[in-house]
Parts: sequence; C-alpha cells; structure tokens
Amino acid sequence: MTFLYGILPGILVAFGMGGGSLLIFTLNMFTDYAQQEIQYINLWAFIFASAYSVFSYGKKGKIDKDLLKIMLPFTVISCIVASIISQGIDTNSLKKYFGIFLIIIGIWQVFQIGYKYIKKKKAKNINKEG
Amino acid sequence: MKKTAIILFSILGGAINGMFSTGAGLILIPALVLLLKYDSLVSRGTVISIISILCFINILIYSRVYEFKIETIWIILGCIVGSMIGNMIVGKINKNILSIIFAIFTIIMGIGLIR
Repeated sequence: MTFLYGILPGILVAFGMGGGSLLIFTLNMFTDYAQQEIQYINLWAFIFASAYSVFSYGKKGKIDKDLLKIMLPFTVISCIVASIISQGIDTNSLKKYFGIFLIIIGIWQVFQIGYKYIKKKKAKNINKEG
Repeated sequence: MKKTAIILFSILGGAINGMFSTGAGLILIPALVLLLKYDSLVSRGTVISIISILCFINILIYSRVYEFKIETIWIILGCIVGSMIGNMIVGKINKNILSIIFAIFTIIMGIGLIR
C-alpha cells in the first residue's frame, strides 16, 4: 500500500509540479505519522526523485552557477533556522501551518495562470493589430 | 534591485523548505521566471539543484531526532515508478489544464489539513 502513496506524487514530479505537497497530504490522510515524520519521508523521496533531474539539467547546461552562488548561502541559512524551529512546533500546529501554506500556494498558482493567460491574450492582440 | 529580490526570495524559499520540507520550488521557480525574467529551464535546473542541497541538509537535521522508516523505501519506489509514468504521459496531457486542476486541488488539500 505504501508503494501506491508515491505513484501520483511521482507523476507530478515529472510534470514539475508540487509532488512533495501531494505526498505530504496523502501521508497525512492515510497514515498516523506525525507531520515531522511525514516531512522526513518526503525529504528522502525528493532526494531520490530529483537526482536524475539535477543530473539531466546539469548535463544540458541549464544550471546558472552565478545565480546558484547568490541563492545558495541565503537558502541554506534560512532553511537550517526554519528546520530547527519546525521540530519544536507541535505536529497538529505544523500540519495547520502547512495547510495555510498550501492555500496561499494554490492562490499564487491561480494568479500565475491568470498572468500567463493575460500575457498570451495581449500578445495575440498585438499580432492581430500588427 | 534584482539581486536584492533574488536574496529575499532565497531567504523565503529556504525558510519554507526548512519548515515544511517542500514547497520552495513552487515559490522560487515562478518568482525567477515571472518576476525576474530568468529562462524557465534554467530557473528550474538551478532551483532543483539548490533544493537537493537543502533536502540533504534537512535530512541531516531530521535524522538526529527521527528514525528512518522502512516504508520510506516503498514510497520512494512508488515515486520513481510514478515519475516514469509521468515522463511517458508528459507530452500527452495539456499542462495548462493540469496546472488549473493542481491549483484548485492544492487549495482543497490546504483546507483539508487546517480543518
């Protein structure tokens, strides 16, 4: 059964969409693990699922090293601080915070889809006028 | 200005990854592409590389407190098989429709967790 929990998130990983969010949600719904334990499982799953992608993007030269050098120190420091904080939060609260985060992400995605749609429509109109 | 924005998004993305072990890509990739005008594939490649490093650091932090569950191996295998299925159908499904479905489902998942 646990094998099946990974299938749909894995499909989303291939589409470049939030496979991790779906895996955490699925494990929350169907297991009684604490939120932190679920997050730990997700970390392992991501490391394996992303290994091929990192290799593939690197091979195609699609990793911007200058951008990476700027981003990495700041992401690492804030990640370590947040990770330590998250382990001190009780599991139900952390689950709720994650739920709030997902709602914000969902709205952010709707905004992105709308932005792309408007941009496409504008480009079409310019082409028509041209 | 652009560098400041990159730093601010990096801090936000890192904090989210540290807090929830996921979600940094959902913020960083669109921020780089839509707001900072980076190429989509370069943004994806760079962010996935960064997140892999963050996940590795997170695993080190988590492993001090939490045990590795044997079920994790099955879940990882499921993810790999799912990823292979996804790669087979990736060109056959309209990504825009999938994005809309996923956005709505993300909101539903969020509501399900805070209830």
